[in-house]
Amino acid sequence: MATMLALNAPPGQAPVIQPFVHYRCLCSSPGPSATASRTPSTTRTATPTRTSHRDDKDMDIDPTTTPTTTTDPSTSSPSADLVPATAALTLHQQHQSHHQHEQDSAGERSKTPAEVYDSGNNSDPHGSHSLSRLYFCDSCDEIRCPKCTQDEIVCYYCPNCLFDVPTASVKSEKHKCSRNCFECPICQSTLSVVSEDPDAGMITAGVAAPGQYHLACNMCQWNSQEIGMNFEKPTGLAVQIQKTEDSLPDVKEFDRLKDHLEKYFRVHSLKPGLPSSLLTSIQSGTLQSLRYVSTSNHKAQQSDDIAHYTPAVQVMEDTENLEKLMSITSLSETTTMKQRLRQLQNQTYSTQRLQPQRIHLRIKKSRRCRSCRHILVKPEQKAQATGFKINLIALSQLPNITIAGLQPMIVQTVSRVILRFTNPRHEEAHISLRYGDGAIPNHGVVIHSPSFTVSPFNEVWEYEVGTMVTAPGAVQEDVYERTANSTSIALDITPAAAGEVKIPLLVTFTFKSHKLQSDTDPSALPTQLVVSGSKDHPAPESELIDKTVAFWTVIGFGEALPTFS
Amino acid sequence: MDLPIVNYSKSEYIETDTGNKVSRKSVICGSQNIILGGKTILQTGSVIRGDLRRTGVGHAVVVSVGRYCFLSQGCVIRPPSKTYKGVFSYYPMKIGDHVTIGEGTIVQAATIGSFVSIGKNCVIGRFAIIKDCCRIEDNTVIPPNSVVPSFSVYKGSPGKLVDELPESIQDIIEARTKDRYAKFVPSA
Amino acid sequence: MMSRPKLTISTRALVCQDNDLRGEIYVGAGTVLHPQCRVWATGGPIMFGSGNIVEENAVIINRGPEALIIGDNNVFEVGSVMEGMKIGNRNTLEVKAHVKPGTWLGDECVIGTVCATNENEILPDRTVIYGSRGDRRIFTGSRANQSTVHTRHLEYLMQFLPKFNHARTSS
Repeated sequence: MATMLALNAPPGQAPVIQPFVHYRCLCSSPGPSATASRTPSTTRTATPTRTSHRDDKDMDIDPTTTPTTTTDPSTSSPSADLVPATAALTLHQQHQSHHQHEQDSAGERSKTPAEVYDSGNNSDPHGSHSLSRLYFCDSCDEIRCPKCTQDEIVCYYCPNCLFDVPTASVKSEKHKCSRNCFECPICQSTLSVVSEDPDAGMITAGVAAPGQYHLACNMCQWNSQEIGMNFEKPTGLAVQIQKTEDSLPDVKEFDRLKDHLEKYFRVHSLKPGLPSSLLTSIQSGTLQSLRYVSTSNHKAQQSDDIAHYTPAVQVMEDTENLEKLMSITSLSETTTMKQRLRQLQNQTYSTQRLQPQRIHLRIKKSRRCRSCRHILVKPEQKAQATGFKINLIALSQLPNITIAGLQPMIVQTVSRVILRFTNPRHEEAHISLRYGDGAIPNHGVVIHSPSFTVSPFNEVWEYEVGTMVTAPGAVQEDVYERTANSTSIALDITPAAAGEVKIPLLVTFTFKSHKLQSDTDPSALPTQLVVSGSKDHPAPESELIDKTVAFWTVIGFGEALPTFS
Repeated sequence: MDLPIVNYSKSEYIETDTGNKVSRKSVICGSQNIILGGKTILQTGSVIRGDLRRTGVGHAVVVSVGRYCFLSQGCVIRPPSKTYKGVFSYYPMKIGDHVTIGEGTIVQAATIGSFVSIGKNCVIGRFAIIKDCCRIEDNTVIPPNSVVPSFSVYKGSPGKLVDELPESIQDIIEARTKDRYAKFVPSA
Repeated sequence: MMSRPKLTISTRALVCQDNDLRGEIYVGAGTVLHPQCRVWATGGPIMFGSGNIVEENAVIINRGPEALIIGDNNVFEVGSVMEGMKIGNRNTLEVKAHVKPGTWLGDECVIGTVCATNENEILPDRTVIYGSRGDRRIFTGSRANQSTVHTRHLEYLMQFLPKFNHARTSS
């Protein structure tokens, strides 16, 4: 495998490995080849805490074994020594399996640029994610990844007209927009409603002009007059189309069959029929009821109560279709797979029989921590609103680590990298770092300032760009640079082997936080800051307490060139 | 990786009192009809057609661009036009804050929300509506009159939904645009 | 080097300043050339019919020895490139469309956004090229709307462009 300098690879070559910073989540859901690489972790870090919260678990956790917890604040160093040992094993196996994974899937991670924002696929299969995808539960004081949060549907809306669809009518409309939103059967772009009268131009909602209306595509110039579909008025088109949808023979047949069998369900089942929607039954965990209904079905068949059913529609031989297909002269007369699968009612072969489809609805989701059931993310109820009522993302609560400076990596040569830690909180925070030196390959890492403070975030400083502000109080030596709310430190790395250079770094983050009023009541919604009345009379519940969170990160610096020898 | 510092020659860019940095080699037609929000950067070769205004008398805003926007080299911002009730007219377009428009992109949308990043060589069709916090990948074509809802990633021609953005995207884009403006400094 | 273009501009045509014109160009009545467009009649002359619209950053090149005859009421949108040999009436080259050398376009064709024709091709009337793969179809159905829109567009441009741009005259 040719190794290339990550920073200036010529275009057209194989994709180079980009630097990245990933944070490890607790759940560390195993990837495709990771089942052998789990070892249980038994660690607690040695940082004392003043609260009764457990320190955050750091390493991978085998889902089948429960980790041992030590609530003793004066955790002894022997357990801290265990960290590197287990880290060594897991990282080694991960490294192997990652290489295998990389060869299998042609390096899925190395293809996409590793900015802080990235697409959801760009995460280590062994549970480390970029900070943009993580959440932080402030009642458990733990990092949560998308897999250890549960999402629920808040509302349904149409992506074209941005209209909220009431949940009750979603099922009856088959999860599609019931207003005027259609997609072109040829190219799947949105159709616009056009009047015959050329002076009226394009129709916007609510304007009624005389003349007939039809649908037109702006991309491929298809219009519904080609299949003879015209409308009397420009609104409520879905209703007009629904009549044709309902008259299809298989829909009628299904209704007849359902009527026929329904009376048997009512007789035999003790539970009140089928659940109203599959989604609510899954959400409320009542899959049991579905299984129950199917067993009652079984009993019904055994008791031979069901009368024989004769279908109303006779399925003909497909000779007519076959002849049509044989006489095709040009490819434009048949539909492509994509076009056919958009029209699931009849999946026609002929382009003449393609019809515009209503547009599928989209959802807004809210996220909940799986362990403590607190809501982490709750968007606004209205579809048009982009904001969030609750948004406990990790980006606003944990330090953001970025690579501020990077020298090219050469094996057995010391390279300096600068890591910048940005504190998003409004109070000063303290960070200490430790390199997990049990990793294989073990790159030599020297951290110049393993323990330092980071100034708080202050909106006022935003307007003074690039000011150097020293933190009040202790001035740390060996810190590379200190700006408004970030601190940069230097690391010296000596790559041990050629190939991608990744180092695990244990970050311990100590910050001040308001003690939650409803700490003991897990069902109440968490609030980020308890309202503390006026500044002169702070409420007694909201004192500032120290909290510590420790988590592992994996920082990749690109590829290391072999030495010239 | 942090963004690198980008230097520009002082003679090439005009800096206004609201912090906008406009290249002299950009083509601005009808500048009295264009509003730039402040701390917005217009790079070399970018074109804004403020002369295609609505029929009617009086002062009209044709193109309004928000704060901390970044219009890359060669991009074209043109208001959309249509015939409505027998009258042909160009309609005003509004671009939100913290919007990045990539090189060579042609934008004829009706509105673009805030915190949107549009890639290179895209074409945003007439009267398209792009809501807040979206991302349009490189080489995408958004057909006319289409709507891109919030938190989506669109790609292809015609643009289709390929991915959803995380909830943290607003903070990320805000920090990135502010950082980019801070690092766009004249070479001393 | 660029020689002075030999322009013959009819009355009621509008050719703005700030565009890149070379060679022999005849501009018919009612045609509008926006600023920043490029019309290079390097090989032979280019003759515009009436009612065409050439928007900015559009490129029309005639390399061949014969004249390039452009019909009536065509639209060359922003960034489109026309290198073909002949083009009929009421065609639309959408944003960044590309007509390759040697191609003939009929009437009422639409070359979609970022799409391209092949070289040395004869496109029948009413061809639509669209999509990322350059799919084609012949569209049926009326486009009466389009011609009305086009006429109104021309009226608007004739009225408003001179307010902000200077016009060129025949040389």
